[in-house]
Amino acid sequence: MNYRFQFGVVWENFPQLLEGAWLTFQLGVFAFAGGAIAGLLGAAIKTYGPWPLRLLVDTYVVFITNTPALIQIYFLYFGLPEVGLRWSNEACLLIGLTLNAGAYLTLILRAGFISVRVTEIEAGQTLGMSLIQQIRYIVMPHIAKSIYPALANFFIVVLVMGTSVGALIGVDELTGQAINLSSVNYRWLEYFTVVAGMYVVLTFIASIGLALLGRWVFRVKARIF
Amino acid sequence: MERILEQAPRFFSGPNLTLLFESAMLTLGMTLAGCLIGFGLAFVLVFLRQTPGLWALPLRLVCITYVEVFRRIPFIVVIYLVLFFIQTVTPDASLFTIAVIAICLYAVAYTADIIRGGLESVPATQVEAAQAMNLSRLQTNLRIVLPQAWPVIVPPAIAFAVSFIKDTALVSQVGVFELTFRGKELNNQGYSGILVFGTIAFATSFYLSRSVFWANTWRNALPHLAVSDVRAKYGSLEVLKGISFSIEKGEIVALVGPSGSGKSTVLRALMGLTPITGGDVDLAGERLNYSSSREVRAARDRMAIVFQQYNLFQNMTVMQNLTLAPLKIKRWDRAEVEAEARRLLGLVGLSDKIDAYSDQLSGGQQQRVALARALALKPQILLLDEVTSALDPELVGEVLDAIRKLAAEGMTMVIVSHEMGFVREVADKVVFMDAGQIIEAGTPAELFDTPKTDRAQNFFSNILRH
Repeated sequence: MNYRFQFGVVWENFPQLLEGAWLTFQLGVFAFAGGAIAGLLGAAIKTYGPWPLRLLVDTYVVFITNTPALIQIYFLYFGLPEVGLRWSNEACLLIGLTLNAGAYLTLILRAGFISVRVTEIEAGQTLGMSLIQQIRYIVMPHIAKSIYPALANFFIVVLVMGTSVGALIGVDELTGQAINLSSVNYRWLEYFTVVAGMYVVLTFIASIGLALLGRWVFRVKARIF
Repeated sequence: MERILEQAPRFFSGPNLTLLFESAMLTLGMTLAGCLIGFGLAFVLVFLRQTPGLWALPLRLVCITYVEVFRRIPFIVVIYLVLFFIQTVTPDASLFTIAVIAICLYAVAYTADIIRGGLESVPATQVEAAQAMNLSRLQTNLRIVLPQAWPVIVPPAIAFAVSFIKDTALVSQVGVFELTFRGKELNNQGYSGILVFGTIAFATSFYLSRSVFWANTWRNALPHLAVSDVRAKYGSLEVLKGISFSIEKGEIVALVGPSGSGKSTVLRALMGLTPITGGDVDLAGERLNYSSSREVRAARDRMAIVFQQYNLFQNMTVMQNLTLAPLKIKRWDRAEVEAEARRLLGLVGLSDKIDAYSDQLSGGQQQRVALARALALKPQILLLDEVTSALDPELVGEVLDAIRKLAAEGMTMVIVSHEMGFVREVADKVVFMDAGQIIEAGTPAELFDTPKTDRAQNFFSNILRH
């Protein structure tokens, strides 16, 4: 093998990669946040909702968790323009990722909902709390503690696996930037090696941040590594 | 919308579906090959990671770094790296090979963690015992640790492979003719994206989700167990040499006898844990057939067993332990299951421990939870395998009390126990076994007071003397 690695060109374009990393981070945070809202709703419905709604949520979860994220995003990307909806690539990706994360987070959060003591909820009811208040003041604090590690793990999954799918529909996040830049001067190996390293650094920062957040805010000793 | 309706007949009738099916098979083959090779390599990685000694520190670091790094970079980046690396080394490598290598590298990182978790679940005392016999590290792993860790490793590893099938969609990007690539191609040919990707999504979701769906074969027949001439072997050693007995509904049969007489094996054989090599088991007038795993499951559906080691799920509360199988396996209604769980916990006197974790409970309490858990599945027969043997003498009483209450409720039970006083009190029938055979059977009074055979006489007089 007489391949000569030339990283010089990668460093020249490093600012663009950094931009991509920043977009990756933003996409990850927004998709996770959106997914968390959807998941919270889904988990609440699955636990307290009437059966038609439960069935709906079940169908949503089964369907999403059993299909590739890429197919879901292609469905939005190639399918929506046909019905007259023209969204930007970023919007397609973000909505696809949110729907995807929502299904997985429904499962994770649902586990948390179940772990709450019934007696505590009953105590909440006797204090005259509404369902929303019960969720806000009794269920959520419990959940935060018991499933924080699972949530933190899933955030990394969204941040890495989720957002990188965007590269395939022309979103210039980290992987997308790498594809764009390397197709100019064919330094694929160099670009992707550097990008792999950047993902590792990005997720390490995220992991450490999440561990500290967990410790200070939720008092969880999350084992991230 | 009109476009979809107009295209649909052409799309579903033409060769498109065949093409999609073929590429789905390719996706499957690619994932399986990658995951299988990766699984094998992951074992090597885990083994290397466990190498003791200072000299192996760099080796261990490399292994740890590999797993950490690969879990933190997107699969698509791995695909690109593998693609361009392989193409620089051997330009004529096929895309399929490249996809398999990428899948394999990724699978190694994920399954290594699963394997490590499985190996760590085997108690350290087992390893120490093996080392005390001078087994080498490899031998210990192969003969002692792996066989025990296997059941812990395999299910999540399969779950990983199944869910990874979804992520392999990404290799479409480098031009492998798998499912997503075909879909994109068809879309380029002018077929509606909603139609194409909707079909793919629907098909994959249907097949992936269909994996666990069991018909509820629960029947409320009369429980009446007849065991006739049952034989079982461990290797070449015949441990059950033709066992026959029967139980009426609501009866309690106690199996007693010296250690190694095959008492526990009878229970294990009934549950299909030890293969039966001959004889018949009839439950409620139906022949139980242990020939296939499905039949074994059907048998287990109707019986429940509690072991000496209570085996509570450590990660779950008492309530979750009780409701897991009824909710997840039987898919019974939650409200009913929880109400029944509460009733059972009341029965065994643990209403106040509903949300405790097993490490917060004493051995006796854990065993009572295990009893309630077995009952939560509404078995027709309950098998108890030396349920008090692992307990402090102080705690034995509370478990026996719980069993007495079950007896009062009319539960049909087969009990293996060394608590002779208890056996005498609750059992309707006592079966005395030795060396894989039934020596004598009868009412407790008959066996304890006037045993007919010398062997039984010896056994009981020895026990009662203590």
